Amino acid sequence: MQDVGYFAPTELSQALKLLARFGKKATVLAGGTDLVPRINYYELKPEVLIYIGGLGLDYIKKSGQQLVIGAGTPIAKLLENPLVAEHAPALVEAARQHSSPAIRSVGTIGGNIAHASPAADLVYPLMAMDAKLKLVSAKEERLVPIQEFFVGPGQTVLKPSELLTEIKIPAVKGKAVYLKLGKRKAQACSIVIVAVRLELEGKVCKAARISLGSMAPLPLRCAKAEKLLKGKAVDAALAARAAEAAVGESSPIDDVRASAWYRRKAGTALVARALAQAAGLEG
Amino acid sequence: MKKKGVGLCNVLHPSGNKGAGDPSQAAIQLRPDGSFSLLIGASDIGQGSTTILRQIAAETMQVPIENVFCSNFADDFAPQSHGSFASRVTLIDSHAVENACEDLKQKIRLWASDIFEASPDDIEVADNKVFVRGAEAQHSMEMGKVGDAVNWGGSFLVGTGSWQPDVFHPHDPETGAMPAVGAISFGCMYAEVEVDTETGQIDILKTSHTWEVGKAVNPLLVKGQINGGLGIGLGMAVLESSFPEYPGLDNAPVTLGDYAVPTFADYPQVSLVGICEVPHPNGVKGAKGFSEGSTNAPGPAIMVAVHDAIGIWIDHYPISPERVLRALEAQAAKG
Repeated sequence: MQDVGYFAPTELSQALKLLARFGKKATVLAGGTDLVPRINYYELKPEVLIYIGGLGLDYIKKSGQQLVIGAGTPIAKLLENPLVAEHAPALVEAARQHSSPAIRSVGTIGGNIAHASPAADLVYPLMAMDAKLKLVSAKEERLVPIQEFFVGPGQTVLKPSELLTEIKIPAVKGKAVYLKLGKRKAQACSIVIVAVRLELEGKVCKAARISLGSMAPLPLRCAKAEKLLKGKAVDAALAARAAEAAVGESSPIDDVRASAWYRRKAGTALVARALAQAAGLEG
Repeated sequence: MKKKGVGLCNVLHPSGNKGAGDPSQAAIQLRPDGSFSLLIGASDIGQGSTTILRQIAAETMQVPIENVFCSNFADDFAPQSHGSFASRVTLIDSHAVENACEDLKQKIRLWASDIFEASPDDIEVADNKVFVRGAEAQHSMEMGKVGDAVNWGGSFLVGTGSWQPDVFHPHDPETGAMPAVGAISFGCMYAEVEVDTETGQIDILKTSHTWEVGKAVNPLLVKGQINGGLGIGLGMAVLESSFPEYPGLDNAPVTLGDYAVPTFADYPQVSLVGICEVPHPNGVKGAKGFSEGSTNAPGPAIMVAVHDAIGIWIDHYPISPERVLRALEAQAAKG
């Protein structure tokens, strides 16, 4: 690795001061599983690295009805924590299918979100569960709904002076389902990710969440498909129509992992399957 | 919908060349402490050939394998071997090693005939000792003492050996026979797959993979080779592409990490391994090479199983989800 300025603060306030001081010159280092390869192989040249592993952001707790996860929590811990298993099983499933054991033990939930890749596994169950992100700077803090966090590939609303410190997942109704297709079964960047949640009264959908990954430049919420479901009894035919509508809202591309044609085909099948599972239908 | 299918295939793999000749040489020297340095030119590139050749040397010299040292980095100065390819080292270098060991044993017998004042023909090299047959109580020396005495007696004992299969001859005009290689090994693989007809994903549920290897010199290594070959063949069958920048030149890979080789999660839940032994006349103790062949079987077995599952021959590797979906669409269009 090239020479860079390196800071490893042990207090959040120190980290925020450093961010305020260096601004755009600073790059935040957490698990490093995305950042370090980009430095070593892809010619990223940060001027200043601020390591946030010493800030005590590694925690999972209940706060009232909310599940609160520190941004520095390693992905592996999501797999073994009973609170996450109870409150957010779809997040556990996303963590299970994330990368490989070695990467999960180092990579963090905050890093997976802030890296702002449309292929980031953990983002989608969080979108399905209306999670909010706590962004903190030396001057202020704010809560941003996760679907408003992303503004472009690798780009977020995070200001240079701000740090993502916490993920808050409210107690939501209905079952959330996470499905992923990768080129292989582990250590695979996604070809298609689907996360859905259905709030049902009997069979009637009161509210729906459908999010698609690797199908657009940004993590995508499919508003039209969600609207299509609302107020209707969910059966296989409606799930299929909603799936087509959802994929109609996406804009997949040909890339090294799959063609846009394949993404649309498989994505449609996956959304229909996820909705059927969330609605408790067969399949 | 998920559809299951099964497939079976028989494959073969040649062991060693023949037409242009395929020689190997070996040397083994007695060291002053009674251990041995085995010099071979074939580098072990992970297949375990150095272990196999140490086993052959230890067996022929009648000494513990721990006393046979062999560097894998000696190919700059070791005797010539045609090398590690064509699954040839077990078949061919084993002969060279065996011949070198017999040569050294004879040299030890000649040296010992002076010491014991006996005919070389009456001297045995066995049990890590040298002794006069029938007079072991009076005339016997541990190999450690032999090495020491040879050295301090101003001698140096080295055995050399070489071997190659019969060189090329034209085909027999009556039978048409023209043995082109030193030996041929045979493999058979069974695969069970599940094809998701909506996503095109293929799950390899179970495999059973057997190889006829003449003689399994090291059964654990044979099993390792078969399972390793399964991984390589599996990658070729369903994951990897010779055109990794597909579908556009913009996506050229940057590192080997961009190339999808199977992980353990992609292996079948059940992968059975079988060894069959029919001693080959060209092999030391009947052993022949096979290991590269283990990569040949998964592709056809999986291709046949996919055909069994969905009724379509997908005759291109990799049998990718996209190829499966496109084939299903074409089939549906035909009606």
